[in-house]
Amino acid sequence: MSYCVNCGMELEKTCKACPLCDTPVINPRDKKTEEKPAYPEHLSIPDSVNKRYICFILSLIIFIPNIVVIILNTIFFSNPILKYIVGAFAVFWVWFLFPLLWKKPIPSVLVAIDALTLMVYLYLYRIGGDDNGWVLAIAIPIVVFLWGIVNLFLLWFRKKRSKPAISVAVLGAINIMTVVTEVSTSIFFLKKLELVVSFVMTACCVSLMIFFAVLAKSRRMKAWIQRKFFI
Amino acid sequence: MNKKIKLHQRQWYKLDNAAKIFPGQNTSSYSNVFRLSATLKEKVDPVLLEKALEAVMPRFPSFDVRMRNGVFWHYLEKNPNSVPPVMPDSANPCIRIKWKENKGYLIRVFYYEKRVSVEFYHVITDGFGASRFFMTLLAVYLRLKGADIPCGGMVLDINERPAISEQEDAYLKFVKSKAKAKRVEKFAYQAKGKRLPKHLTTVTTGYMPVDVIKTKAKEQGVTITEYIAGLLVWVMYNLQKQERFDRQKNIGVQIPVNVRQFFKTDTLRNFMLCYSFQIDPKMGEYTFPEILKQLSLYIRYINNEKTVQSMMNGNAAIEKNPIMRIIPSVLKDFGINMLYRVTGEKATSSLISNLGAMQAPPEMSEHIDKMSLVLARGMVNAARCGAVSYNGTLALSVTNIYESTRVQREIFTTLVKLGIPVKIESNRTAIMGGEG
Repeated sequence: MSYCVNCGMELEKTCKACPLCDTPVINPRDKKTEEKPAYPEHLSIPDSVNKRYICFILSLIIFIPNIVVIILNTIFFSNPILKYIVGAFAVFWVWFLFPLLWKKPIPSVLVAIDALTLMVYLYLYRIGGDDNGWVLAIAIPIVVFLWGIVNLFLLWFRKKRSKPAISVAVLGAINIMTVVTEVSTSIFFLKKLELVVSFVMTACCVSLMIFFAVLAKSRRMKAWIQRKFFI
Repeated sequence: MNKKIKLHQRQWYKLDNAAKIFPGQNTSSYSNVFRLSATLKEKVDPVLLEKALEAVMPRFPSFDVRMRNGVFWHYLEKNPNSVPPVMPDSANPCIRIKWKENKGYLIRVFYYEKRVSVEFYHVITDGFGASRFFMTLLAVYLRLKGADIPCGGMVLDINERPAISEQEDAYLKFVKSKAKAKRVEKFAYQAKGKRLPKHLTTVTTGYMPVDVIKTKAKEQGVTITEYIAGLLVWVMYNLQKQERFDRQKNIGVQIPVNVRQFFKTDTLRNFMLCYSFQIDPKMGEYTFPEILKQLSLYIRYINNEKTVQSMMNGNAAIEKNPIMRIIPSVLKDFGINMLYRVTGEKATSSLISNLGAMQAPPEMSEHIDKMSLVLARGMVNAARCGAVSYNGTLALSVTNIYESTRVQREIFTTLVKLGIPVKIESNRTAIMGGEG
């Protein structure tokens, strides 16, 4: 019998190292044992849930009622709103179920597909004649901007970032999106550039961004805040 | 043959109060499973083990079941298959259970060299019922091997008709809707680290002489279970002190208790409750004897018929709530799962389930070398411990979901420092792919 020289534990005959501290077992007096170790080497790893199967089931749940409603609408009702409802289901499918078909989805490709789907859906309103120009003037530019910002984030997140740095980036993105939204809506509705919300948001976001940027750099400030504001 | 049994003739059971939450807790990597193992003196014959299982199953009808989904609750139904398959053991015990695997059975039987292991899903039984099933299975197996083993102790007579009282829902029998105990537990410290891959856990079993640990416990005026529970609290308390000085969290331990000691029942299904004990390190420095004293006083304070009854009433009140009853089982499972993920194990740093002494007829003892109880991994707990004593040896198994061995090392080295000799075995080498 052997003992771990580090832990003081008696070890099982077949142990080559202590299971608690990995100290190798060297006992020249111990005869070679034919005993098998306490546990077999074989691991039992159950099959993981098949994501494609889940996608198939959920797709059926979504598609069957949609197809039935489309057929009924074509034959009896001819309701023009239906295409938007069916379109919304299609967007939902692409956003949430389509990724299940991929083993290892690439985030940037997924975001591109999601953005394009959303733009196609919004364009449905233009084709249907239910917009007064807002699709091209407001909705599409906002989606394109959002797409761009998410892509920038994905690039930036390839490295591990600190919490203050993430806060600065998120605040910056919120600020840009607010400005883009207000510029496009004011030009479209008021026919002139009138920025009120953007100024308030920029003032708040920039001051917070400066605060977090300083916090990310200064250890002293971090320590001071921890001391002064602990709850 | 059983397939021909008509639906109205198939025996079925509603899940008992404790079992109702387990299906909801199930995830793709976690199930509330525990394993009883016995290392025999000779290599196990899987064919004879299967024959023994065939002989034993009819004696335990509440184990011969499969899980079915009802609209509002899950239920157990007689399994149309003959017996669960006897499988070669693997290095990672207590993996998750799926209703349709393993021929639908909620028990799994394994063999490896000289060891027989049976894993029980907690839905069907607790430690009391499981120990009876396991010892009876071992006795029948040894009889088939030629040994003359009488019934007695935990070995039930397989020729006897299973009593209705063995299949009763004891909670239903003893719950009264009067006083309900409210449990308020704070979130406790968790010894975390790098997680092992899905489905893998390290199990480290320490074997120690019962009389030595009993003497040590007696010196402190506590029982063996209290001594081990106190040790776990002490270990976690020290680990937290090493990690952080500010804002120390509570240290908690959960102790499942067999409540048959207060309410007379023969049931082999679940009939247990969990006691939770916490210390608050913010109150000051603790010593090991101090923790033991507080723990034993706390257990003595709550370990009485009235308090236990009120705890049972509290648990049953949730189940009896009319709104809860009409919620579809899918939604109930989802709710339980979310609640368990958020709060479930967070109120406890560790868990110790002590099955006590396994009683077997003396003729059986000469064929069995040692026994152990292994609990399934936790979701966040680093130490889920199972203890069982047999033939003068106490086996304490620590299940850990993290790569680091610091928790189990601290537990066993503390025992050695306290003067208790420990012999250990582990599955770590196989889990770490030969590195450990």
